[in-house]
Amino acid sequence: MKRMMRRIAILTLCVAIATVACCTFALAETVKLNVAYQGGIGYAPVHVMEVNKLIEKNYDGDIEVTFQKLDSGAAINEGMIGGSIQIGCMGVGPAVSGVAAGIPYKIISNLCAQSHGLMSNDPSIQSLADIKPGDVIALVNTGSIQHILLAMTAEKVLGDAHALDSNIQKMSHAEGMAALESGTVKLHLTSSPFIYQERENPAYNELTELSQVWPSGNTFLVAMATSKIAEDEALFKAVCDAFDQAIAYINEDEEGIVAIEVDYLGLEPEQVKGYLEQPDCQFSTELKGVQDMADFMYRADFIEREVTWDELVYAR
Amino acid sequence: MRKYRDLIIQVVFVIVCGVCWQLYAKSRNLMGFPSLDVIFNRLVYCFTNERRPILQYLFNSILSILKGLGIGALLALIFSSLSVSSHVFGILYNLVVSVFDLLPGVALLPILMITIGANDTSILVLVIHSVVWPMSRNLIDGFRTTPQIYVESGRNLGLNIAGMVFGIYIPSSFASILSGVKVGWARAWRGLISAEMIFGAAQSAGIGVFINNARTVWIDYPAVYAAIVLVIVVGVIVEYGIFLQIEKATIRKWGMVR
Repeated sequence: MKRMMRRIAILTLCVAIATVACCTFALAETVKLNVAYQGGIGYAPVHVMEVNKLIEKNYDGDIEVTFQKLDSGAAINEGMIGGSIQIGCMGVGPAVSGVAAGIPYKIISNLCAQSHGLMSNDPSIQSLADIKPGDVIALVNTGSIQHILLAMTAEKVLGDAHALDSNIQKMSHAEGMAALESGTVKLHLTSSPFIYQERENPAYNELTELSQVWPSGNTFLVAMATSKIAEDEALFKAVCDAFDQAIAYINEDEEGIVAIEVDYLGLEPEQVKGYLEQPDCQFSTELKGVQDMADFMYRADFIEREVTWDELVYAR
Repeated sequence: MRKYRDLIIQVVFVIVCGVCWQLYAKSRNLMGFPSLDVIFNRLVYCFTNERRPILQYLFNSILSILKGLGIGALLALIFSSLSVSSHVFGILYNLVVSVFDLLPGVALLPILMITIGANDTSILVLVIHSVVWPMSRNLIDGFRTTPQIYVESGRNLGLNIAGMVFGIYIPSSFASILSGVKVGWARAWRGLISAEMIFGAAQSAGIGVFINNARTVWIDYPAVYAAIVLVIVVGVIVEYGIFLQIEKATIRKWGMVR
């Protein structure tokens, strides 16, 4: 009797699993798209796409678009490898690393350029050459665009891209800002909007060598799309158009974008307006400096092989 | 004979799991789910290649854990001895242990970073934190369950605190102490790797930093799996190579446990 029961239980379980498996296949008729992004005003084009339903409007057919906020480019890369994310927005550094590592995706659109800066709370540190072995540089993660920018600056100023690697301490932007204030770190390499707040503090000085290697207007964030999207011509075009329209909207309708960003960032309208009016905050569809970054990353051993433009960017 | 059968069951289970893994990995060919031979090759590559010096990272982790475990165990021993010899200290320490034992070390990290700073000391404090409270719990429980007759005879002989602890309490509660060390080690090892992954200590990068680098810089998932395998191997070596041997040589031999 007991054995019989056990057999029935196993059989039921098998049937249940098979049913679930069949259902997932049966439901796969509507196109499903999951878009992942991170925190900050740089992801405004994605916010506009979500609010104005731009992908849905541009795609002629049954489509379900979902949006997901994650906390790092690495997490988005993992989602894209695993197949739960089809469009992922991230810094250009992790994007180049991902392409070199063989993740089946390419850049589908530029998103923005933003401001970056390396701030110090120690007046004796005016250049990268003044940084001593024990001086901690807080930045958001190894392999992040901030890390790559530090390495690019180190290559130019000190002659060795990895000269400051052992000074790096991983901290979120907000924690790094607090640590710079309390003095537990001497330097903080961060991006907008945190860098704007730090620049207002008269006790800090900025190491301007960073902006010489990565000038204002160079690409900061990009949108990556998996090869599955590129294979579907209509979907690919809809996504491209959606990004173009979102970026055009940001540049044309200031009131509209301020209203959207107030909701996403939880800030006052004046603050959002202030960020958007910063000269370094530029939303554009045009990529700038991406190939230079990929070449540098190969030269400095961040990636193990050279990456060509065709591997990096979809031809539109 | 029975022991032999248990071993066979375990080995068969491991083999079946491995075969399932291999079949799934080979059939799907996913980047994030490499097959066992790919992981093994990556591990060998990490051992031999300068680009992924995994042993250096592992060595750093083991060094931090030994330091933390040593200091933590010593503190636990001192505090637990004091709390069985003094009633007031005992009740206060009991309160402290109950409060801090429930606090995950990783939750303390932001505070440690702001107060102590972003250096190896923070990581050391974290490891000590994960060791000292659970170990104290076991030690105090062990000391408390020491049969009264042993305690009385110790007092009769005129032993001082140190004499009581080393002559009476520790031998009679060795089983609890050993399980305390085991719990402390497990907590510390997990706490250390989580801390390394979250903050990535600047000065001596451990195996958690390796996993994070493999994830964010190299985007090399076979290396992530290789590091996880290594973490498991270290755990198994400590469990069976060290703790089991100590157990066999002491409490099993003495007939305290079966």
